Amino acid sequence: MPAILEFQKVSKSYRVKKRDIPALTDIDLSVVAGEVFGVIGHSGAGKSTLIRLINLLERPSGGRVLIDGEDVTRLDDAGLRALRQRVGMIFQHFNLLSAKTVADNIAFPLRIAGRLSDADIQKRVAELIERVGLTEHTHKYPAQLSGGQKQRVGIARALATKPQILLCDEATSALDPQTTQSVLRLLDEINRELHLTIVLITHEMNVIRMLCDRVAVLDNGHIVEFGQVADVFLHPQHPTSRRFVYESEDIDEDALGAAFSHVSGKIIRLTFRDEATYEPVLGRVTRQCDVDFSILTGRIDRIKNTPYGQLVLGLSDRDNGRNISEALRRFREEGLTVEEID
Amino acid sequence: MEFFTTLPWPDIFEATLDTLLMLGASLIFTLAIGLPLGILLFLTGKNQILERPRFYAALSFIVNVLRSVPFIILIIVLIPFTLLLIGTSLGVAGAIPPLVIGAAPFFARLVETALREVDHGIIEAVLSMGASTRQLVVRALLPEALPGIIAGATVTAIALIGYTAMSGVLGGGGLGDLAVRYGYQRFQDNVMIVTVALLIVMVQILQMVGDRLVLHFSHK
Repeated sequence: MPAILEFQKVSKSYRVKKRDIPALTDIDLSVVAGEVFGVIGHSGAGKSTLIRLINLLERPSGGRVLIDGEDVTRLDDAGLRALRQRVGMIFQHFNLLSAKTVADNIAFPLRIAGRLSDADIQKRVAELIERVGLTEHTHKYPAQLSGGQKQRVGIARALATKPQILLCDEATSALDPQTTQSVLRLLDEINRELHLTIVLITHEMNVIRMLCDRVAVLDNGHIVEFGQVADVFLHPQHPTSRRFVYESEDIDEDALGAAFSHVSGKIIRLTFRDEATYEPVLGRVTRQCDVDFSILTGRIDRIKNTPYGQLVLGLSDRDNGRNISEALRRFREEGLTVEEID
Repeated sequence: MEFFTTLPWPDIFEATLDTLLMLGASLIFTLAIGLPLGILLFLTGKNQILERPRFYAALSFIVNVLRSVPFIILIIVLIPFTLLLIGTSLGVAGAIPPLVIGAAPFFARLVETALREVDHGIIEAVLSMGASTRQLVVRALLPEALPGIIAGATVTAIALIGYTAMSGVLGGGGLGDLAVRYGYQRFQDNVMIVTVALLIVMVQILQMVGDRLVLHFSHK
């Protein structure tokens, strides 16, 4: 798959009181056309700088940013404006024009681009308003809308010029959980139906879990982990990634460790994915290997479109662990991931 | 009854007209000069898109100097300039250059402040759509800041009424001149009172119209 967006050794530092403070260091990324790519990090990790380097709201201090193979840092003013019309952006605080109605806000980027006639603009705006479900609010001002409705206007506005990439800057962080769900569903729909590449930044693992295909974990200006969301989510390697996952799952690692210390037998973490999630693998294997199990903790859910299950089990047998070893081998054979916890 | 019969009605009428003329003409020029000046101050200010620290400091200094000179002194200092520009420093026409030079920097500051009130996120959003600086200013910043700018224009217009009264003292004509000639030099208190009443009415009307417009254009 060709990369629509690429960061090559990108760095950014700010000059504060005659000293260079690094915000991002040696970032290498590549985003594939049509995917939803998430960047997760705590505040101050550099994620809002990172997303602004894509449409040059911030200029990189070093390295190259390529969109469709073109180095955007070399564009002149006109080239940059043309590029920005191909890259839509939505914001945490919506940033709508308060003096303009919903329809005029959505028409705004089209009027700036100046390529469509007034009649065509009206048509396109009506289409977009319908897509985001705000038809009855067409002539309202932003102050009359709820947060979720404002973000829908923001999304319609960002889509107006039919961009190739949509940048989402903490797009759901100012919304309540229910509204967050509906905005995420809308973004997911747009991604699938328009094959629009989405790059988002967030500090919420749930946003990544629901919407993203791949994720990069940003910590202190560095990418510390990178991969398919399912991999990072189920098997986080870096401490920062682990913290994000456990926070989102409400797991207290220390408390768990203490609880497990009373369990006799072997403790393992078993991860099922896709079809295996719904297969009776656990029962079959333990029965055939004559192993007893107790479920210590677990979760069964979906990561975007992938169902998964992850269980922590205490296993015991009457054969000094030989049956357990056999069971673990069989689990692996069935395509499950087995991690032994001591 | 004597209060009204001894009033020089033709003079009062003419003076009112002169004041309104001075106000109208100087307000137009003040807005025409102050608005771009305010936009320039805003755009070249710290963290703005055309940030130019030295240029901003210089412009800001000039604006401050003009604002700190008391208006009555500004009129006198500007007499040679007014003569050069208009041919006279007297009458309605002669009053306008100092009025504009006194009020435009004041209005420019108010415009700058009103523009700063616009959320930086909006600027970022508009730039992210590929707007040029001109489009940003004309299509987004000015409409967003319009209520603030109108409020600033109202304050400026009211200040100008005060200024016209002062310039009346130095040969500008209008209600200020009338008040000095009759009320101060001839001890005709009734003229003084009518003059002040007329000025109060003007200020009230301006403020009311200004407030209405601000309300009409705010959608926050």
